[in-house]
Amino acid sequence: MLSELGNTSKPEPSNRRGVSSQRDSNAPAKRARGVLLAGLLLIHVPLAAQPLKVAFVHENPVGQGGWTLSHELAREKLQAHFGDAIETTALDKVAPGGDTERVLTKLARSGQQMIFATSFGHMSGAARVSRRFPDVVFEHAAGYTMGPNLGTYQIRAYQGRYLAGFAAGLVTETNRLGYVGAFPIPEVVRGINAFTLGARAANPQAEVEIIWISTWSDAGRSREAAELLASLQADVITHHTETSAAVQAAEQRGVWSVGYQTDRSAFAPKHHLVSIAHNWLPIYRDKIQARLDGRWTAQAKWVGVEQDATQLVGWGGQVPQEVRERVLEQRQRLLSGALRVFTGPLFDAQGRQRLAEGATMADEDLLRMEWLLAGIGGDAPR
Amino acid sequence: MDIHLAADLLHAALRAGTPLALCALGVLVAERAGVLNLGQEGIMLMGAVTGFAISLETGSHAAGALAAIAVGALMGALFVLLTLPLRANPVASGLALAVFGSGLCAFVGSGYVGSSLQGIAVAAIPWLSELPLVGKALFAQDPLLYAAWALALGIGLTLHRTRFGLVLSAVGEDPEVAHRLGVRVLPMRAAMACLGAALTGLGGAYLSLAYTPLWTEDMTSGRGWIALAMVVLAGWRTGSVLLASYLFGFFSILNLLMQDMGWSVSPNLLSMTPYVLCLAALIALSSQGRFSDRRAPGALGQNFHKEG
Repeated sequence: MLSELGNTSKPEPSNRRGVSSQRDSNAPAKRARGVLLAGLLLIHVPLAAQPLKVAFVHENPVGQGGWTLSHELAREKLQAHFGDAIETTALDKVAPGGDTERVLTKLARSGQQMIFATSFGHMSGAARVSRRFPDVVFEHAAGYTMGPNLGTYQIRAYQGRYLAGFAAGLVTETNRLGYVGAFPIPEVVRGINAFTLGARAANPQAEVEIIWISTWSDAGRSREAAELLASLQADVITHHTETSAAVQAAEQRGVWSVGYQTDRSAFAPKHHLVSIAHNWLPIYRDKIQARLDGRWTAQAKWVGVEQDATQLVGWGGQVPQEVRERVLEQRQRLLSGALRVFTGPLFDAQGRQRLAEGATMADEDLLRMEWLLAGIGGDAPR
Repeated sequence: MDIHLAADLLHAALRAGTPLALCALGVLVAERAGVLNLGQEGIMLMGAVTGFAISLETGSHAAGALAAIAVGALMGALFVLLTLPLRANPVASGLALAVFGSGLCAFVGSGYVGSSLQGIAVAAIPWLSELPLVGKALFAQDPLLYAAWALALGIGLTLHRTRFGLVLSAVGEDPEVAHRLGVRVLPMRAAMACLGAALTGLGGAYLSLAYTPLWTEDMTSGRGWIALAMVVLAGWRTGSVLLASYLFGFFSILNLLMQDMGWSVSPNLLSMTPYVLCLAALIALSSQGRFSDRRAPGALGQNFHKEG
């Protein structure tokens, strides 16, 4: 019964339909305002409710603490920076080859507007899929293939490597620097060469010895390689692998370690030298902003110390202050342009001259660098 | 190559082979009873993450190792549940367990990615560890490795020298006959499945507590699958299983050294060696005769159901 439903207010008498026009003489104006407001809201709601959909695709799992983690750290900051303007998702463990194509296709079909493929192994897959979806923006890290809707981006981590190599050259006592390498792709080879150049700049007697373990993520292999290098008298050990096992092995043998991709100092509390960390935020921020502003074009974007994209973090407690100061001095020289990492003459392991005296290396040659400098021990596996 | 380097290499080779040896022992024990559990990779990963997590939280390596054993046994019990009362296909169940373990360990371990643990310290035996070449390798290892050797000895003696071992082999060869002779086949198979999985879990814990004291996804890098192959290669005999596992460890270290010495054998060829050896062993086994005592247990991978 109506009366039982809480009748604090008496129901209106019979003719309810005419109530509003009886009570309010400003009805037409109010109605017009209402319509206008509704109209504005209707236009506004779709614009506000459509954030840019950005997807990230990683080859290795985040749970390895390396390359993928560095991207994910940047993605978190991106979400905070852009707020509601973007909506990000990420997938890891996407293997190169068929899996990459399948995952990228699925993402493009499901409405992702910008896709970042963050591993070198994703290059051919990204190239193929980007041709099929010309309206989706594709970006690929660490590679060199481009297209009308496929750009590339990379951090000039070799600058960080040069600086760390400089530090290594200063602290080493045996003059042997050990390097645990995964696969001889350009990014890895560039890093090795830059590290070597930095070490030789600080200490002409320094020698670099590489062991290739043909895997990004086998912690056991990393450790075995690092321990072998330590047994071979290397007293600074660095790596280009996902896990921190090489840094940890160096710590247990009591030798210096140089971490890569993220801050690895937690794994070497006593003997860590420094870690070269990747800061992807400037690149992602600029690319996404360009897309939001509608001015995105396919570019090869390389960013280095000038935007703090490659950072030296986690300086060890035992590192002498003088070493840190000298390294920072070199960093200043890089920033000012007085120093370029790859300056000729440079010769490869077969004796061929790769860079003329006084010349500097162009980006295209850096991107495709697959030759090691002369004098580095441990040839790249074929 | 000087003697110190050779000593270091032997030391490293024994360490490298131990997780594999532990896992292979677990596979052996279960397969001898006729239980084919293909989920070794998942069980080993769960053992690794459990060992690491518990050690980090409690500060005790022993607690971590025990927890890994318990988790391994639980995974073995899960396999038993699937294949005995529920009568699921053992191959499919094992593979499902492998995938399940891989996924669960990533989930559990996600909070431990940046953490480092103080690894199990080496317990060097005073005078013996000073011996040239073999001193460091044999007598300056961590307690978990010595425990693995003790377990291997115990398992070997039990399997090959005791009545219990004989009964176990019977259960694996022909459970029907064993059942008619009064052997309690199902409880024995269940117990061996759990024990085998527990050993595999301990193998995983060795990785995350002693070998590389950290947690990283896919830490085992296929060692569970390799262990399954190792047992075939070794013909289901304990001594051979240990030999095969440590040979594998030795070859992986040798591979790295050969690179350094400039011998240009492709590292990919070298890492193929264990698998090629397995294939060769399988081919040899399939021709009877001389190797007849090294063939698979007759009822391996077949569910046994009591009739009546």
